Amino acid sequence: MNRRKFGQLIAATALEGALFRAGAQGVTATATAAPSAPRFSCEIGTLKEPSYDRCIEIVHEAGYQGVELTGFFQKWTPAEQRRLMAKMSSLGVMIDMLSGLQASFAIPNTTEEFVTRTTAHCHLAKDLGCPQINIKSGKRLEDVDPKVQIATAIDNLKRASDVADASGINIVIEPIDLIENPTIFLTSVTEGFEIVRAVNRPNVKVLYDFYHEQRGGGNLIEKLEKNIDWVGLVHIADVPGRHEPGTGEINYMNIYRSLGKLHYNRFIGMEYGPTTDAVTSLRRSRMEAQKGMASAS
Amino acid sequence: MNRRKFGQLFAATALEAAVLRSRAQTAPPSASATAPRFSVMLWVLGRATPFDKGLEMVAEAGYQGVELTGQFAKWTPEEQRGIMARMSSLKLEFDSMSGVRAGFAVPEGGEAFLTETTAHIKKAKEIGCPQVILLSGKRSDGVDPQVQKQASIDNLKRASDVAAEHGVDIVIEPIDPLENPPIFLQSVSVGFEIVRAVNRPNVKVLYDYYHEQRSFGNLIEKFEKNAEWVGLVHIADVPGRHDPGTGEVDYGNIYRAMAKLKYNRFIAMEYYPVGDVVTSLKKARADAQQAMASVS
Repeated sequence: MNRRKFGQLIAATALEGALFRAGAQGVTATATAAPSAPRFSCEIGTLKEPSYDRCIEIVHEAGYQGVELTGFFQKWTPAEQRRLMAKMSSLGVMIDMLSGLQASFAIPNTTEEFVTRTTAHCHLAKDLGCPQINIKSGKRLEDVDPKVQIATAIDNLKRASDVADASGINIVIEPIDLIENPTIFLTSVTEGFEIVRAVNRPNVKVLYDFYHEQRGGGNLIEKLEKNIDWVGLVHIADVPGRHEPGTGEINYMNIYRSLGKLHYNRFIGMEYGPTTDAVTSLRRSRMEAQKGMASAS
Repeated sequence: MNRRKFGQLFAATALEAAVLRSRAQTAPPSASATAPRFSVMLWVLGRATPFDKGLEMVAEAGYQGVELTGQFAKWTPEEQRGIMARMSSLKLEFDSMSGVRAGFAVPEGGEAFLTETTAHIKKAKEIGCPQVILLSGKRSDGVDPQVQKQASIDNLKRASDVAAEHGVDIVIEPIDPLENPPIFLQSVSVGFEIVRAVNRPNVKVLYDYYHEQRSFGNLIEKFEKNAEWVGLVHIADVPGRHDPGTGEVDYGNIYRAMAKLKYNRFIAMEYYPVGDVVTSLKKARADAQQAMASVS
């Protein structure tokens, strides 16, 4: 090996390392320099598959780059975690979003506990090479003015933004429809967008779950168009039934076309119960989304 | 003409007249056709389209009904006769008409509502229209919504009596608050609660998927749970209120859900056609029929 080749190799290795860090850990890169086309992920709880190994294989076979977790990671030993992360790396799959945080941002007088738990969750996410965590609002309180809960949400999310930023982590807040969770505070992206606009931090955005929004609010495209800068992640499932796009009342081709027109370039997360073979179903959903977005140009 | 032929001709004419009467006046609630018929809410064609021209376009697109807002208010008796003859020759009927200004959900507004609604029902009968569309009116500040809901139930029972005397059906129409911020009845969810409480065969809900999608969503589940209380559906996509297929609503699956529940009343298009009107309406009808036929 001559000096020139050695130099090239070092440069290539350094670049590769940097790219890996950017993909797996350097969250700031995802936020500021996301690739021009969306990547695809799957909330693997929907697969009803007890083996994490099998989940990441399914997602990889379907041509996806991300998995989203609510469970699984809590039980991993350090050795198991290392093994699974190596396997994900070899499959080109990352954990793009981590749910499972047992803390709520809209509950007054719980700020210290909320911040402590959020900080721990951010550290865990960073350990897992995951650039984004999902936080929920908690319950609507009967004897508290909704404005107080909104003010609490804004204050808490600013604190969460600081601790997340220290670990290079992004936050998405997720509204849930009242049919699924009759007591939840944040039920629509409309209020979600108001909150993140008031928080006004680049690392705090909304998880726009079209399934939840369709069950409780509708008007999906207009709300997307008006708030695209504040969308950190989208989740896909049809209504009713929470199955594949195309099985229900949402015209996902036109939703994807809107995402394409708006140059959405973050993750598209499938969160539905497949009605057929999971790999076939996920692959088809990804290809339909890519076709829909491509039709925008 | 021999006696037999005369008899046949007479029978045919009588039958035709009977069919025409039943189609125009009494048929829908008890003996509606097995497949839905299609109609167009005429105002979407715009003021630039003369009334007669609008009728011709609707007929050419293969529709059987037209729906009116208040157009009939200005007709002279002679114009009305001409329009009805034109309708008949195009094999069209007026299937529903709105135009009552008074709302049924306004407490203390019962008498004005009933007077105006009675006149509207009589007009409907006069022009062979079997169904009237009624709106709730405004949400009253400082009034418990339960009071307005009860007023709705009481007023609609009285309207039901009047309508029944004339063989007319009523549908109540929720409007989304983006279009009409102060309106009381915004969602079919509350609409179905009201008509279930009224509990009359001639008082149902106009399920306008466009309005419902703009503010509430969950279109199919609400249809499935309340199908027997749906008197009419209105079709347009969101956003934009254009042709089905231009927005976020998957109308193919909506129609399939309706066919599974054997919906057999009118399907009315209430959207602004993007392209040529007749082509657009024809396609919207054919798409609906194809989707419904796919349910066996």
